[in-house]
Amino acid sequence: MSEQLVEVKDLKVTYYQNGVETPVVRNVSFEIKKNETLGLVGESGSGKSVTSKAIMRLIAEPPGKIANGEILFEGKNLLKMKEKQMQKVRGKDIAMIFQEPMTSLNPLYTCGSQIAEAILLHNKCSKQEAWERAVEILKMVGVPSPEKRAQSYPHELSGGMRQRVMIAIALSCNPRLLIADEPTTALDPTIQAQILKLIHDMQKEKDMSVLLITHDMGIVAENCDRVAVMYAGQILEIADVKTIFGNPAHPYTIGLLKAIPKLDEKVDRLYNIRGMVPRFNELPNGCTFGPRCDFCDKKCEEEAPQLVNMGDGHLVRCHYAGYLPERGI
Amino acid sequence: MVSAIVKKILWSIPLLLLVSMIMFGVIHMLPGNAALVMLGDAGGSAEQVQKLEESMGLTDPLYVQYFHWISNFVKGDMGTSYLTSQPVAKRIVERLPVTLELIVCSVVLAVIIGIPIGILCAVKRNKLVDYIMSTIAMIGVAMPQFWLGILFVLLFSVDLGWLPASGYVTFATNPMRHIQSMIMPSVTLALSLAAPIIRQTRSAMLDTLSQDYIMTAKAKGQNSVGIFVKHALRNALVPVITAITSQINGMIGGVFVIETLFLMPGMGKSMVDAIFQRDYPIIMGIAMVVVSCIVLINLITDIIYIFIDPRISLDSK
Repeated sequence: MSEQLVEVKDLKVTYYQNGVETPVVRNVSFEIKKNETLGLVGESGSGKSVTSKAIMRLIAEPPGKIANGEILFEGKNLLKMKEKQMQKVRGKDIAMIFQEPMTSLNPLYTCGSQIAEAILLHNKCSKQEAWERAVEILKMVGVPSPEKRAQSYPHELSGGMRQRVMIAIALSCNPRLLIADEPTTALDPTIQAQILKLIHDMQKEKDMSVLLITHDMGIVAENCDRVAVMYAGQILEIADVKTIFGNPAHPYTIGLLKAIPKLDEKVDRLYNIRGMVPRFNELPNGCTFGPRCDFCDKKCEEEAPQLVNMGDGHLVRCHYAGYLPERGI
Repeated sequence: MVSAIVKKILWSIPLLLLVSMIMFGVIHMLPGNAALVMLGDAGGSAEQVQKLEESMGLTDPLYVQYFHWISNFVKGDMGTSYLTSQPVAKRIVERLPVTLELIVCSVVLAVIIGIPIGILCAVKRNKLVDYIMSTIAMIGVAMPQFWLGILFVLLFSVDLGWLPASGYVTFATNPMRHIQSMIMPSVTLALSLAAPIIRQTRSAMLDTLSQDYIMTAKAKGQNSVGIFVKHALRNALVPVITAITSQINGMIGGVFVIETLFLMPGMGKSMVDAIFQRDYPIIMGIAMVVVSCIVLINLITDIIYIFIDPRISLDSK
């Protein structure tokens, strides 16, 4: 058995914008090992969510389309599966939690029945058994008085509680991979920490892998084993978390890390990466990050860089990967 | 909840009062009166007409007439028809079932046609089926009922001879003929009611299908039937029911036209006749029944909401 749970190979996702097919995710390849947490970081609109939805095959077609690539889950190509087979994978092998707990639960059904629904879809059991299992899971994810809460409707719960219910739905069938798409963005910082700890604990308990999508480098540092940095639909750098924070090789990653405010330094102005994420229909010919990069030169403008292996699984999409220190960084 | 329902019913009393005042004022603004209608055609003299007016109380000031009418109404006496001397209550009891049957048949038919087609259009959004159905629905919304009714008569009665052009047979007299006589009026009303239901269902379904919880349901591994029926349809129903209610309220006018067109002895036909004859007690009686029906329909709708959506409560402000 291979160590890899998921292998994404050369994924390309396009969306139709004003009748033009625009690629929003290109040449994306990465793997998720068993029991590891892979962080997928990037600014809004960098293609993180699209990538994760592509793994679940949840991209609405049209306007979206998975144009190219392979997504191997335990060796099977998810993109070749029929919709019926895919429905058996969703929720059972791969589960997902979303950014917005306030709107991700159906307002018309009790929390318990929404968890039980997932259990009933993937297990042969009675409604009664599914309900009891739902209450058990609610207890496991730290919902107080779970019997009562299972009877509650989503609008009767706080955001943090709802996200716990979402996690309960996701974990109800013991998935092998949990995709968490910015699970804490909509929550208070204290609740954020609780939810992330919960995901971490559950991961240890259930032996699952986690794909954690976020734009918060702090969350990455605390929760991830490896990190993939996305920008404008491409992965710019992948490495284990120590390398990303200790020895980043891409100017974009360096910029992101510099942008984290530090408590022990007094600065007048926080660092920011100049410019804006380019629109997908106006991507530059060369390096996509070029227009915002302090080290951009003629080569960067003309030639799109490929991922360069720096050893130990550290991949960087930059012409000058490894040479940046000599260029004054 | 019960107290809230009682409160709503009590609130309908001032509404009924207000409507009765407006109605009373408006019908008396129409030129002519019942005395003229009764004697005018028979060639009565001006003195005779005036005498009759006085005996009917039509020469009293309007507020006196209104007070007279409302005080009797509150006591449960709706008065008698000027022309036939038949008690108004009796006339309504006679005519109401015909109208109710027509409304119930057409609403049920419209819902059976409208909601599935609306869902189909949403599921097959921007496909050929959607374009065809949405176009038909748009034509349906734009087409006047009476015109549609006339077209039906031309096709099914005159050309094909399948259905009677008009007339009404009670169920007790001849069940088969009764059903035949109900088909065209019900279908005419149902089609014009189904059109807005299709449009509303389509847009509500599309709106619901773009919600986050639909993505959650898909991520659970729910199949498309489960997603459409369990998650989307129930959420889409509230605006659809609102649309149906407002359509039924508006449909009462349509019923009057259809009853007149197909010569059905319902309340609508009665009302139209009464207006031509300036038979004020009948007009007022029917108007009060119609307003009460609308109040009742809205109350029932409010109660249906509660069963669909747990977030809706009658008690809260």
